[in-house]
Amino acid sequence: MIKTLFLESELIEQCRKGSREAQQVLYNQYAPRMMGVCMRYLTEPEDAKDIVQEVFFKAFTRIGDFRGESRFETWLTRILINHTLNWLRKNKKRLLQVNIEDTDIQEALPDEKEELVWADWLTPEEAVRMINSLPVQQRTVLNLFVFERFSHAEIASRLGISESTSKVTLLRARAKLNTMVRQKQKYDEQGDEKIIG
Amino acid sequence: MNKEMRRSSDEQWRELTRKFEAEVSHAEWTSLARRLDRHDRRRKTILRWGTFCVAVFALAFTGWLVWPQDSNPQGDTSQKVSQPAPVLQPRSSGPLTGPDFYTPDQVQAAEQQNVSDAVPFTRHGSMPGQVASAEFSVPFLFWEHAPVPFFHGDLTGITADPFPAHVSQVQGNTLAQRAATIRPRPRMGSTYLVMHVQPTWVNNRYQVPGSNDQTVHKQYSDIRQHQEQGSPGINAGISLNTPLWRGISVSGGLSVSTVTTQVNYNYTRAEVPVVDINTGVIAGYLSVGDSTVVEARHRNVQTYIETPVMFSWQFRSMGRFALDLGLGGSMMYLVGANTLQVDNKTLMVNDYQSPAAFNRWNTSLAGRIGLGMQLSQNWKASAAVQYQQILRNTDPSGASGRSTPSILGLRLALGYRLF
Repeated sequence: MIKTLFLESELIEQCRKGSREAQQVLYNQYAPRMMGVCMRYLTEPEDAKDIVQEVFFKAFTRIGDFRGESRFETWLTRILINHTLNWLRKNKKRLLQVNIEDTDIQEALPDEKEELVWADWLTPEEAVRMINSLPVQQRTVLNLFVFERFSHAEIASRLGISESTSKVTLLRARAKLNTMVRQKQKYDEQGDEKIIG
Repeated sequence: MNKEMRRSSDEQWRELTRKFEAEVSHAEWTSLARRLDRHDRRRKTILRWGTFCVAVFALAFTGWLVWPQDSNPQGDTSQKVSQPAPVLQPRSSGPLTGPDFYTPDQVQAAEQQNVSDAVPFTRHGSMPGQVASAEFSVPFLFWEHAPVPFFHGDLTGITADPFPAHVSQVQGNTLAQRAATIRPRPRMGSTYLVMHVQPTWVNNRYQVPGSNDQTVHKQYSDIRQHQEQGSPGINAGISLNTPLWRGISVSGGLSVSTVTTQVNYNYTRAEVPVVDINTGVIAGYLSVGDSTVVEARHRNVQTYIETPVMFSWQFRSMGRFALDLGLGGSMMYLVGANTLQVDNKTLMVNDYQSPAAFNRWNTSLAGRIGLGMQLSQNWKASAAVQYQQILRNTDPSGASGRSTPSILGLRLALGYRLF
């Protein structure tokens, strides 16, 4: 790990000097992960590819701004999130700014009694597909809250919605995901029974 | 769903998606690399034009600052041409006097002394021994060469390669393996900041117009012996070097040089003409007594600022070393007064001359051959032998002499890669 970090700092130093080879190494290393993150927000792979390329272009041309206070991946992810949110605001403005009244919060509360454990049998691809199937606002709020660890106040500010809208949207997103997980679980169990029978 | 369950659920989602990576094709990288190349080219073009514009501005600004404002403020060019040049009038005997030279009192005072303790004086009353200082100290730009050897491999095993490595040279499956294939290598198109110092040896050639390459002692037969000597000088400056195409580069910066010329004379005349060896103007006459053989030594110290353009061609590269040829020219501006020393007494020759007859601007041609060495990815050094010939304009009166110093220098430069 220490060796990798050392090399990464060397690569970044060479990127600062304009080394295209170093840039390619970093691109090959991080582009798949950035695509993965972007695919959680966007449904179209082509849009995600465009954004990832834009993010790397920005990162390489402004690598002087990277001061090494965080990991390069963290810095890159931050650029990616900002870029993706801008893209969403520009292209999905209407869908993102649906405000929900406070009174809708109770309606949104799901009726979950037991904890679901699925991490062992759900694949990452299936997980991303489930997140991707959520409506754009729920998907975006869920991504920002769960994966990027934004607070509701930050989400509200970034998306131009109220905090309560953010909370309700998150609750609904969670409820939908749980439903999907349960359905998948049920489907898999049925399939197993059929195989056994 | 309570808070604990939600937290656990979030953690499971994070854990799952952390492993998710989407495939990125090589075409995506190729597209990005092309875009970055375009961006780099655009940025470098802007920087080069910016450097050029700054150079032109600095040159114009320097010219505006240092142009002799008092030479002919009314712009009356006829005055320059028609102005007699009394200092060059052949004389038979007796002291030369007149409003353009000395007052009768001054001449009389000079005549009463011999050379060894002659009191130098100027028309404007400078004190004996006073050394003129530079009037201006302004930055200016000149073009300078610096070889840019391109290589790849590490610094102990380098092969010449004028082109950037192809992306396919990066190999390996892991980050460590791929990083290890990258070698430090200056990229084509690097611009360097170059600092240089150049000890020089100056040889002066003096010519009087119409004398068909005769030296001053033939024109003035009373001077028994005339000996020109080489003299040391120094040149130092800072410059920017940027490549143009293939191995050809152009550079510019700022530089200051000091040229010292020295001429020894033996005289038998009672009065010795004091000649400015650079302009050919007889600055005055010093009385040396009756028919005494007198040795007089003229030492002329001049400080120039230069604005040369230097194109260099790297014609051979051997690993980290490169040989290059440079050819350029320069404008040279004489800073401050033209100091002339006669037997350790300092005269300021400029003050003896008609302002219209004095030309501070020179042009020069320079050629050099140099050996450059890449010290590291960012640093390089070069050593070059440079020959510079100053082409002296005859002054506007058409009557003065002309000196054409040639300067042989060993130029030592250190460059740091900027971008």
